[in-house]
Parts: sequence; C-alpha cells; structure tokens
Amino acid sequence: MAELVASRAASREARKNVRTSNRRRRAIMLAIVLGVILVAALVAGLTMSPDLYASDYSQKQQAPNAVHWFGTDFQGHDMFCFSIRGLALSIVIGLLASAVSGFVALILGSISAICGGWVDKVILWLADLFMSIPHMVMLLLISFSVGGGTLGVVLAVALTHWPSLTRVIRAEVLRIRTGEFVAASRAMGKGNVWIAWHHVVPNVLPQFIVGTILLFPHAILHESALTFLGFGLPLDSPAIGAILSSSMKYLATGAWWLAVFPGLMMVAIVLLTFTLGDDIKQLTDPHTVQE
Amino acid sequence: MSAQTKFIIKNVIRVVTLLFAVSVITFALATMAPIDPVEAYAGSENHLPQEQLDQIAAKWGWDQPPIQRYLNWIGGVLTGDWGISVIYHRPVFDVVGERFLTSLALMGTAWIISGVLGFGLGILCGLRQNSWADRIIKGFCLVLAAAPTFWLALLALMFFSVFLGWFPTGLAAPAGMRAEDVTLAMRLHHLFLPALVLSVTGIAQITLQTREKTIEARLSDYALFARARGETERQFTRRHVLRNIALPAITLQFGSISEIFGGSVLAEQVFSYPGIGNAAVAAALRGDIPLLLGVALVAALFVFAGNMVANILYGVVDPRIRAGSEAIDG
Amino acid sequence: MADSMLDQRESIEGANGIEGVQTRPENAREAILEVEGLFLSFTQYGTGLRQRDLEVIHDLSLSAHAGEIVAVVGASGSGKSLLAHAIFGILPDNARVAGSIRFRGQELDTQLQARLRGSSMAFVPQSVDYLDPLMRTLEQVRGVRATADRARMALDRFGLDERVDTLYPFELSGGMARRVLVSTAVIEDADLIVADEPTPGMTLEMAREAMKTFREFADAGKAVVVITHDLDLAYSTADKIVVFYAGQTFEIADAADFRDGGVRLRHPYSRALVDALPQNGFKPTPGTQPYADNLPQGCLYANRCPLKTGECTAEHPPLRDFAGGRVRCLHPVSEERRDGVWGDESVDDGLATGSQANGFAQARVEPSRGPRLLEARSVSFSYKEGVPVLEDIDFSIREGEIVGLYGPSGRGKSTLGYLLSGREKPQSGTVLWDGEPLPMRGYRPIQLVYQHPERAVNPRWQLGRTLAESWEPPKELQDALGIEDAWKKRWPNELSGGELQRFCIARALNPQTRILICDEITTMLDVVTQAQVWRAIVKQAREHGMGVIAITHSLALAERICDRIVEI
Repeated sequence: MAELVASRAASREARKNVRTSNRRRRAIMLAIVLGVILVAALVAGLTMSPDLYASDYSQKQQAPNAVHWFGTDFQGHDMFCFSIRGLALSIVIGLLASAVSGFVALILGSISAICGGWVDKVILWLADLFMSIPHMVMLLLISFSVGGGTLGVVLAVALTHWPSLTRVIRAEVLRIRTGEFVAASRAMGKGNVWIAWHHVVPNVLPQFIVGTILLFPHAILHESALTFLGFGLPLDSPAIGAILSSSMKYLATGAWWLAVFPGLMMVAIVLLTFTLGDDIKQLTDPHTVQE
Repeated sequence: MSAQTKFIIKNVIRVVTLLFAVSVITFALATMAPIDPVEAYAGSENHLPQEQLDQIAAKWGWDQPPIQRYLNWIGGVLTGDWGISVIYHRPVFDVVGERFLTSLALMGTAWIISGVLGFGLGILCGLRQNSWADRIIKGFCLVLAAAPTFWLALLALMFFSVFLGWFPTGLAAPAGMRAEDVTLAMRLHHLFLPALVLSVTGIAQITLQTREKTIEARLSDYALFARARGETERQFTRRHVLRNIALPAITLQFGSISEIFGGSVLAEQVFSYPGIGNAAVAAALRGDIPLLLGVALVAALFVFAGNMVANILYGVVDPRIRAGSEAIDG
Repeated sequence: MADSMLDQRESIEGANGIEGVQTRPENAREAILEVEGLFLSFTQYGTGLRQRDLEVIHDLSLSAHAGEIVAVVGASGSGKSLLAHAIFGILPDNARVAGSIRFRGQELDTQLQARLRGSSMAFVPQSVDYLDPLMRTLEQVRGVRATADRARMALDRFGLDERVDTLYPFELSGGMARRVLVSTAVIEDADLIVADEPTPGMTLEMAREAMKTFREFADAGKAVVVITHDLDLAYSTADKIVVFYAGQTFEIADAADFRDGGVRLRHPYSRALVDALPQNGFKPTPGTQPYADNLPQGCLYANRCPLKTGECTAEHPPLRDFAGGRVRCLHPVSEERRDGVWGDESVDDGLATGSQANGFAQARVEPSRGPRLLEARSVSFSYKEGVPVLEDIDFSIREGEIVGLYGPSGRGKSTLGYLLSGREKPQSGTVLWDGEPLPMRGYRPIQLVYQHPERAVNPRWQLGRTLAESWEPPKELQDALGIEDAWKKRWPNELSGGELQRFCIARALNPQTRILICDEITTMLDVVTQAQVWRAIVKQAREHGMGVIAITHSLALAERICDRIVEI
C-alpha cells in the first residue's frame, strides 16, 4: 500500500512539479506586482489633490479624450481621478472589513475548535444563522439599523463576512489539534499553549492569511453594492457604487463611459486580489513552500 | 426510528430554532434604527398635534417596550397579520406575497439557467482541462465572479435596451397598462434582461466548482481502475463522473439561492423590476419597518426552504448518509 | 478484425514455443507478458525553465508465462506500481515510456492497450478506494464489458451472495472488499492478471488463503503478476520472483531459490532481503535506496554492497543470464563463492548472544524497584455507538518486557494501543500505570509510534526540530537507526516514509520512555529497513529496561523480537 501511495504521490508530485518550480517563481513575482498595484491605487487615491477630481462645469459630459481618459460626468468630474479616488475608498473599507471579519473568524473558529461541546455548537449555529439570511438583505438590515451612511456600510461589510472563514479555521484547527503530530507532542509533555504556538499557529496561519485576503474582494463588492443602492457612502462622494448609481440617469443620453470605466476598474481590483489570494495560497502550500 | 427520519427531524428542529433567531435578530436590527416609526407613518412634514401622534403610537403599539413589541409582531406574523406597509398603505403580507411572485419568475429562471448551463460548462471544462475551451470559459467565469452584479446589469441595459433598443429599459410590464391587458409575451420581454444578468452572475460559481469536482473525479483512484478495466472516457463520464458530481451539484445549486436573492435585489433596482428586492430597498430607504421585516423574513424562509430541500435530497441520494454507514461483515 | 488478431496470436504462440524450448525447457509455455528494457520518466521543470526528465524506472525487465505466478518484490519507491500502470497505460500525462512491453509477443501500444484493458488484461487494485464510492457492487463488478449475470457468477464464486449486489463500497468489510476486487478480474476472463499489493494488513495465513485465488487463475492457464512488498508471501506462493530496486530489475529467480535461507540467490540485494527476514538472520544492511533524481554512476546497489569492487561504481551492470536465473550484477554470487563470501556470521550487535529463542539478551531491570506494570483492565471502546471495537479486553506489560500484539487489521489492535498510551480513554474499564491512572502531565512514560510517519511529524518543521522536541539522541543511536545528519535539515515532504519513520522512532526512544507502543511501525517499510529499526529499538529497550509493545500482523516479526505474544 505504501508503495502505491508513494508511487502515486511521486507521479502526482511529478505532475505538480511540472508547474511547481516556475510557478513558484511566477507566484512571487505576481504577488509583488499585484501588491504594488494595490498599494499604488490606494496611495494615489488617498493623497490625490481634491482639485484633480473636483467638478468643473466647463468640462462636463465629455467622452473619453486625451485630457480626460475616462471622460467626465455631468458635473465635470474627471472620471479617471474620480474613480481612482473611489477605488481607494473602497480599498480602505475593504481592508478594514476583511481585517475585522478575519479577526472575528480567527477568534471564533479557534474557540470553537478548542472548546468543542456546546461552545462549538453555539458558534456553528451562529454561523448558520448569519448564512441563512441572504447576504444582501443582512447588509441592508445592519446598515439600516445604524441609519445608513459610511458607518453603516463599514459595519455591515465588516460584520457579515466572518461565517465562512470561521468554519474553515475551525475545521483546520480541529484537524491539526487531533492530528498525530500534536498527539505526539502532547505525549512528550508539551502544554496546550506551547502546542498552540508551535504546532497549530504555523499550520493555520497561512490558511488564515489567504482566507482573509480572499474576503477582501467580497467586501469591496458588497460595499459598492450597498452604496449603489443608496445605503452606503453618500451618493455625491467619489465611490464606485455612487458613480455607477448616478451614471444610470445618463445612460439614455449615451454617456456609456460613465458606467463602463469605473466598473472595469472595480473588476480589475477584484480580479487582482482574487489572483493574489490564490497566488499566496500556492506559496504557502506545505508541499511547495520549501525549495 | 430510521436514520432517515432521524435526519429529517434533526433538520426540522435546527430550522425552527434558526428561524426564531432570525426573527429576533431582524426585529432587533430594524427597531434599533434611528427612525421614529410614528414619523415614518405620519410623514416627517406632518403638523399633527402631539396628542394625535401619541394615539398613532398607541394604536400600533409603538409606545410599548421592545420585548412586548416583538411579541406583538411575531404573534401577528404567526397568525397572518404582518402589519401594514407604511409606503404602500397595504397589508405587508399582500405586498410581500405579490412582489415575491413577481421575483420568483425572475429568480426561478435565473436559477434554472445558471444551474443547467453552469453544470454543463463545468463538466466540459473539467473533462477538457487546459484545453482552449476550458481556458476561455474559466477566464470568463473568473471575470464574471469579479464583476459587480449591478454593473453587469447596467452594461446589459445600456447595450441591449439603449443602444440596440431590443428590450424595455425597466419594469415588469409596459408602464400604464392595466394588469389584465398585459400578455405573457410582454412579461417575458421585460423579464429577459434581468433574468439574463442574474443567470450570468450565477453561472460563474457553479461552473468553476463543478469543474473542480470533475477534475477531482478524473484524478481519483476509481478513475484509474475504471481506465484499467477498459472504460473509455465517455463511459467513465457517464458511469462515474455524473454520479459523483451530482451530490456536490445539489449542495451548490440550492446553496446558490441566497446569492441569487442578493443578486436580484441589485438587478431589480437597475431594471426597476417591481419584485421583492425592489421592495426591500424601498422599505429600507423610506423607513418602512413592517415591510422590511416582512421581506427579511420571506428571504430567510426562502433560503431555508432551499437548504432544507438540499439536505433532504442529500439524505435521500447519498447512500453514506442514508445508511448511517454500518458495515456488514462477510 | 477479430479473425486477423486471432491468427496473429496463434502464430506468435507457435514462435514462442520454439524459442522456449531452445532456452528454458521448463518455460515451454507461452509468454503472456514480456517487459524488456523499460524506461519510465516524468517530465519536470528544474530551476528556471529548464526541462528535465526524472527517470524512475531504468532498464527494467520481466516476463510472465501462462500458468505461472510472478511476484514482483521491492521496497517502496522501487517502481513496482508504476510498472503496473505502464502495462495498463494508465500513467499520468507527463510520463514517458521507452523500451518494450509485449503482450503475447505483440507490442503493447496505446491502441492495443485500449483494446486489451478489461478484456485480456485485468488489474486488481489494492483497496476499496479504487471502487466508485457511489456505485453498488453488482454494477461495479459488471463494468462496461459484462452482463449482470456474469457479474453475479463471479461474485458467487467468491461466496458473495445476492445481498452484496446492492451494497456500496463503504458498506463492505475489508474481507468482502478484497473479494469484490478480485471478482472484477474473474469476470473479464483475462489472460494476464496484475494484482497490486492484494494482501495489505493480512496475516500470512490470510494472505496465503487470498493467494489461492491467484493460483487457481494460474492453473487455468493465465499469467498472474502479483506486486507486493511482502517477501514471505512472495516466495511461499509464487513460481517466480522478480526483485526490483531503485527502478531496476536486480534479479529474476525461481521462488524456490529464496528458500533455505536464499543460498541459491545470485544478487547481493536478494540475499540481503532474505537475510533481513525475521525468521532468518533479521540482518540489516546499512544505507538507503538512492533517489531517482540522485542516482550513482555505476551499479545502483554499490553503496550498500559488501562485494563491491572498483568496477561496480564505474560501470552499469547489464541484466544477464546466470545459473538458471537472471541477475544484474558484475559479480553474481556463484556456487564456489557462496560459502566463503557470505559465511554465516551473525550480526554483531552485542545482543545476539544468550540462549533465548529470539536471539536477544534478556531484559535488564532496576533491581531495587522491580519492573512497573502497565495494564488495561476489561477495557471497552467504540468510535461509533453500537459498533464496539474492543470489548472487555485485559492486557498487561512490565517494564523491560517486549510483547507482541498480533492479529489481522480491523481487530482493534491500534485502538488498544491508543488506550494504553492515553491517547483515547476507554468507555469502560481502566488503564493503570504502576497502579495509578496514566500520568498526563510532563513527558509521558508511555509513548506511541504510529504506522504513518508522514502524519506524525509537523509538515512545517525541519526534522531536526521534530527530533529535538523530545531529546537529542546520541550519535550511536542515530547510526543504529540509520539517520543521516543531513536529513535533519530537510523538510518532511523531502524524505521517504522509511526515513521519516526513523525520526519518529528516535524521538520516542527518549530514555524517559518506559513503555514504547509500536503500531505497525514497519508495515510500510521493506524488510531490510524493518530489521534495522527493530534491532535498534530492541537494543535500546534492553539497555534501558524499557518495555515494548509491538503491534503487528506479522507473526514472524513478533516471534523474532518478542518475549511474549498476545493474539487479538
């Protein structure tokens, strides 16, 4: 049996290795490039002079041209700068939300796995509860409960993304805690804290990081959706959801650029982070991590 | 008691406790809002004397402590009295029911189309992993998964309705027409674009996950054995792949109900489609607490129904759950 | 089409008959499978984008004739299973095959493979994992080429009645699953049957029973190839044995050559295998099988061979006929050399003296205290309600004692080990150490070594750290276990199971361990490694008065190392 397992593993390994090595190099490069783009968009958006996206009625309703790459809207905002600014806001909210959700998931998932019993049941039940109301409706409710606005969208997005990651972390902690190498460590007299720090954390951390990164695109998509519906950031603010919401009024006039470009930028950022998450998952896989 | 009945009863108990919790949470969240229900009812620009406002509050029970109000509300919900919608001035039950049916046409179409197409495309990609067809479909799905639903809706509206003029720009039927004059063709004409957008956004997840499961089946030990026994790719797909990805597909398909509901909130907003998602947004924007509660409850029930059907189907279909896995020794 | 194939087949038969008479009279029967000079490599990318081939099988040969059972033996990683996959054309896409595989004299190319798979060639996989988890037995056995009636007959033949027809794989017991797997080969009425490790976890008795089926196949004129790492089983049931090492055929010999202590064997490695068997010398050979990506220049066995000369490291030996068999060695052991070179020297481990039947010295115990006792008093345990694994079991062991816990898989041996080590708590009954409940704080005096070392080490720790979690074993012990210093800097996924297991054992041989529970620790290893690690364990146990529970399904091993054997 070992033979077959070994040879199948060998052939799988070989199959995997076809990609592993150059993939690893590519993964590191990709991670750097994606990280730089994200940070660049964030920094550019946050430090941008407000003049760059201020309204200028003399320039309103222009199709994309050499000066205004993405055109201008009915108030004469330069859509390129306006969108970059919006993306930066989205990224800030997304970061905040994924950090909060990731933290909640880490705590709840770990407690659930470590305590077991009724604590575990309650936490799983809570996760089920959050997942049994459609996510969009939950976002609406939370945002509504605090009267909407920026606070509403931040709270809503931050408080609703933890259940799935909680389950993942719980399963992972449970798997490691009941694993043979932890049982061996315990038999050698290591205490719970020592085991948690030396065995569980190094094995769960990569999953946690990847999971948290992958929350980010969901968070910014939901932020923009809430804003689009009128519950999030103010509709005159430079947010992608708000821009798209106001673009609706001008669709009939043929101002296609108002909808197309800001949306594309959103898609680009989301794809970027999806890819980054997958990429880091590759890099932290214990079977490819050491080379 | 058979394992199967036990399984179903356990599920029912879980659902009942969860539904109760959902009602508490939605009620708590809705009543926490910094919105004065009396003001929302009477309008913020009202010049009614305080005495009359108090009477309104007393009539609807808004002057009572929260727990009492919850009990009043949940009692009403259980007996069919879901309150009166502030914005439509009609019983919430009627509004929600009507809207839900309108949405059901939209969501149902999208659910079936995305399920069938996603399943088919997923198998195709999985069987032809790394072929150009797989790469194109996979890339397309990744982009779709990254695109906001409302943006796709905007693009569809812009292209098909504004630019090509093929479809109406909104609503479920021509504006100003009496309900009895609206033909099925007209309804379908209005349904097409929102259903298209909703289907397209649903396809991505189902395709990608079905693809993964298909690849998993192809790399399994039983695939190796099947090939060693002379099964062709086609025979293997028919005998083993379909069988083994049917179960995850059920979970996925019923699990997608929650996503589709969320998507329809956004799509209905863009297409001004008078469904339940549209009502949810209107209720939240205009402080119509009874309607918002009604919508939230229906949404949760809808998701629950889906999950329950999936769980029961799973119990019926999967022999491992059905039998409770007791090995018979030979 | 069918006619022409038949014609061809007959003509080949004729040709073979003549050839057979010329060379080996006893093999006048038709050769069904002939593998000659087979190379198998996987395409990989090294650093950068440079493509390289990892060659896992090199110049491998064997043949199987109608009416015979050929056993292929070798350590894991020697390429045994890949050979089977190559024959059936079920290798992964990045595999490249060179050399010749012939079926009844006809080159087995992709088309022929596709035509013969499941009709003329049948593959018997090793475990229930190879059955579709969601398909009922009858449909499963029927496959795509037979009728339900024939499937029914095949199941009947193995004493499986209609009740199994509708069972799913997870509902089959281990014994039933094995019979279902073998029945897939019957139904196909094949000329060639290749069975991959058909007897894992069985006692020798059960395995021999299972092999009877294959003997019946052979008697019916089929050729049977059985891939196994169980040398005992191979030479007691097969006609011919092919020894694999590092992807090469080292020797092809009659099974009889392996009997009588293997005195008629030609290759030093074959001898080492026989000598390492528990019932023979239990003699370890230092060193390990080289990795496919780091093969030496000349003979692949040179680094471990006692007969090595300068030529051996320079020249790659060919497979050649020698003394009635075939051998790949520049200095095969001939009749004349046999006595002088091999001798009968026992292994000098300082313990193989004394008059014990097992050849090891008696335990040394602390005279002042007397040996402490680990005992289980009427313990019961079940993982699932209503399905007891252990019921009302008593067991005890003293410090310094080596006790075998013997029986086939599925009898709860491992579970008893878990209970005795404190990893699981019995649902009823008690486990006592020196009259007290098991100590759960600090380094536990009762340690457990697991069957699968890959799971017992942290995948994100270098192995040196894994070892240091317990203690720093002295150089002497590391050498005895064959642990190389360089391995300590490696990560778990870079070492083989055998290498990892040595670390797990070294970790548990901390002198504070008073009772060591070894749960099938060498089941996955080859006999040479098995002899090496067990010798090291027994030596350590005797020197420190440590008790050992050896959980095993191998009676020969238990008899070799244990003071006392408990059957379960």
